[in-house]
Amino acid sequence: MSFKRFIGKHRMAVVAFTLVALFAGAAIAADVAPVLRMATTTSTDNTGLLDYLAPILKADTGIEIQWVSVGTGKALEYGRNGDVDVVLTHDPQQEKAFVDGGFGIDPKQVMFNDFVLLGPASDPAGVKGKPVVEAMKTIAEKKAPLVSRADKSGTHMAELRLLKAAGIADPDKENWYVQTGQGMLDTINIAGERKGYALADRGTFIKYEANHKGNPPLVIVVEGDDSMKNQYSVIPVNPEKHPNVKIGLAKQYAEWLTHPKVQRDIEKFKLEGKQLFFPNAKQ
Amino acid sequence: MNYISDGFVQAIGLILSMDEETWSAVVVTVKLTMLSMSVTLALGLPLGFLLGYLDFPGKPVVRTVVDTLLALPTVVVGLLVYAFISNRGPLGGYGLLFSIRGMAIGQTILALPIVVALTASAIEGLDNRLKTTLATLGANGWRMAASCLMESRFALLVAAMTAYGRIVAEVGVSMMLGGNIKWHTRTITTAITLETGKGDFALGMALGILLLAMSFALNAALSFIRRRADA
Amino acid sequence: MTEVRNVFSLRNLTHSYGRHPTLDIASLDIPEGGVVGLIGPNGSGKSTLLKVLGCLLARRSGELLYGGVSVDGRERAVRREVTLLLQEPYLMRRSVYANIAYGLKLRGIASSEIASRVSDSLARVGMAADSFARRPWFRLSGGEVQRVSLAVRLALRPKVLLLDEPTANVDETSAARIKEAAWHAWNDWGTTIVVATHDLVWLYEVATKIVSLYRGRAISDGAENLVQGDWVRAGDRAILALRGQTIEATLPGGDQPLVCAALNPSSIAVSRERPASRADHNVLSGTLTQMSIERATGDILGVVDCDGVFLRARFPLSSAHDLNLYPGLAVHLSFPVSTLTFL
Repeated sequence: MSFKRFIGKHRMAVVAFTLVALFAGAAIAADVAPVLRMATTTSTDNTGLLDYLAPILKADTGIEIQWVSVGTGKALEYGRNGDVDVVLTHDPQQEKAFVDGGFGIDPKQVMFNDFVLLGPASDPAGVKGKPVVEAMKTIAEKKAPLVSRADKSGTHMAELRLLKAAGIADPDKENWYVQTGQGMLDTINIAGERKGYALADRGTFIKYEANHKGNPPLVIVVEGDDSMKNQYSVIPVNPEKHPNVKIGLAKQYAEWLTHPKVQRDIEKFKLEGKQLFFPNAKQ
Repeated sequence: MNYISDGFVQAIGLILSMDEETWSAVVVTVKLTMLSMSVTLALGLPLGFLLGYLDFPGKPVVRTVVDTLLALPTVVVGLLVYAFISNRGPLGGYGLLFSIRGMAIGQTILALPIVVALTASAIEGLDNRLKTTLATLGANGWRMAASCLMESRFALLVAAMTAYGRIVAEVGVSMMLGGNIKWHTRTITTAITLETGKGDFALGMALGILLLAMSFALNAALSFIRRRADA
Repeated sequence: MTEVRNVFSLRNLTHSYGRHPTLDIASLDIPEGGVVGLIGPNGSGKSTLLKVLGCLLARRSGELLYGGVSVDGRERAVRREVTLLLQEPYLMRRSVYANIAYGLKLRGIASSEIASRVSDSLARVGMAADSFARRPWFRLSGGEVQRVSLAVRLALRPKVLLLDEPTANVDETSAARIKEAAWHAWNDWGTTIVVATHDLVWLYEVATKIVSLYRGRAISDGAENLVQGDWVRAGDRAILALRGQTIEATLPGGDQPLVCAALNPSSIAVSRERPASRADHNVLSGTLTQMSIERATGDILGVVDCDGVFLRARFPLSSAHDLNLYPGLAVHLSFPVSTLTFL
């Protein structure tokens, strides 16, 4: 009997078999291996740092790591719910509340990079080279568009702190304050389209610059200010709140990440030939 | 224009080279879609059939509810399912969050109303004379029900393909419940979102083309089987 | 002579959709091996009666016997022996072969037997198995669909074949094939046939029994004239005015509406000369348009056009011969006023 005849004659059987095969495939699809689960921020993921570190982690400790990259606020939320074992984030204030609330234990500083204030090369608000707080003030006074992620990410929180220092406590309703609710690169792109300013982490900006082959619509207008330091910390989730948390793996990971050898690895990581993260774990 | 055409050319190159990472997203997508579709069809076809075949008080209400669920936004499903399968939720102990099974739950909820509603409509839309004809030939009960299903097979195929379209194209549920974890829960659509977020137009395009190619292959296979079955 | 057995017997059987009775039959027998014709205007209950016989519709009250035993509780068994060809036939979305094989598979018939039955059934409706068996349902004309639908039923070798207007919507060739196939089923297998049709000429030729239905009632065994129109009251008579003449009828009792009066063809006398007028008789003149043999009685049914009203008169072969009757002849009809009964 030819294939055609077979299909024709046993249509129902073929359908049934296909369904069974689908279910079997589905059963195989179930993923089980015990792994360390981390919630982290887009900046560590998008820059490729985590992809660079994962095989080193595997080689050093045998730990397999899976991560979800979201804003710092969301990452800590996953931690609070016990959906992950460890968080790697960059907002000291939210992190403090997280630890004070008993959701995380034993936070460790890992590294820092810095924020940069981006703006059009023409710099319509005239903020180039000013201290960052003064720059923020000028942008607000001139009502130049300031494009914000507005997603409770570390970058967003840093930007709010800077605005507050500039005397703008609540920019929410201001019409020069553009809230995208999107990731860093999307937000930079929107700022570029709107010819506005935006606070960004340096890593994402380097990527953005590379995407535009060295001729980006936005350039750095303010950088190097002390208040623009972007500190990353690793915090295991408190197993007393969530007994399912793999605290052993989480602590081991935190130790590993702050180990001098790994700190040197972080130092060696480069994007487009530029160092992005500066390890500063307390030894 | 160069931006688009260059992106397209690069995309083709990326597909041809097919790196491990892209391949992984394809495999995850296939596994996830199979799981979601199996559960959706296994639940949806019988439910839809009963809804279309039987008359019971409150049937219009059920129909209205099902029709309303057709408009479920993916993010609402994602949020709701997250609340259930998060470690703090009632199903937290099963380790469903950030897993293919967890994503499949969300996608099933998303696609189930489509299959139920379209199946019910297909069964209701069957010619009145069909049941009478089957009775004159001596069919009863299960046999008649099975023959009615068989009779509406093309409409059911459309229902399945519509559900497939919804499942394979959605990104909200996959992102929220799967977490877009590389090698594990990164699907083609969440990868596209990620690559677009990273500004990699060509890779996003390549993934989009792959997704379309998969759907095309499936449709072609179905139409092949259909033609064989009719001959 | 052996006693005629009845395949179906109906006693005081009623059926209704909602409040209005659609069927109300005091007594009706369908003899085994007979060809029973159901005639009557649209909406008279022919289709409903066929569906009740096919155990597709439940009756509301009364008795329905199949082979002398009530059908209650054994509808499934009855449906295996009695099959109905719907007025608007429906083919499943499968090949012609699969449609015909469907009922046979249900009956657990071996596939080799199925194959030969499919060819045989198609041949019976004048279709070659070679060119039709593998055809999909959508590649058939209306007449072919009707013929395949009949083949589907013939393949089942039913004891009773119920046909609802089998030739109403088809071309001449298909109609002829369908009539032949039904006749052969009766002839070859002794299948009892119950057929509702407007094709009266054919029906009178083949029917061993004719039942006239009007508004759900079986008004007579045999052909019946239904005289419909604007009947008006005049004294103790009801009068229907035709173009040049009138028909009078005895006024019924009570407040029965004057819509339709039944007139038995046997009560009508046909003559070439105009008979003398009588107060208690209608005398009409008209043209004999058709003559056909009525198989059930062996008599001739003549159709006479009286100013647009077509009346059937029944007369024996001998009077046709003696009076030298032929279509086109001007004739006179005479029947008592009292034979018209309002329905």
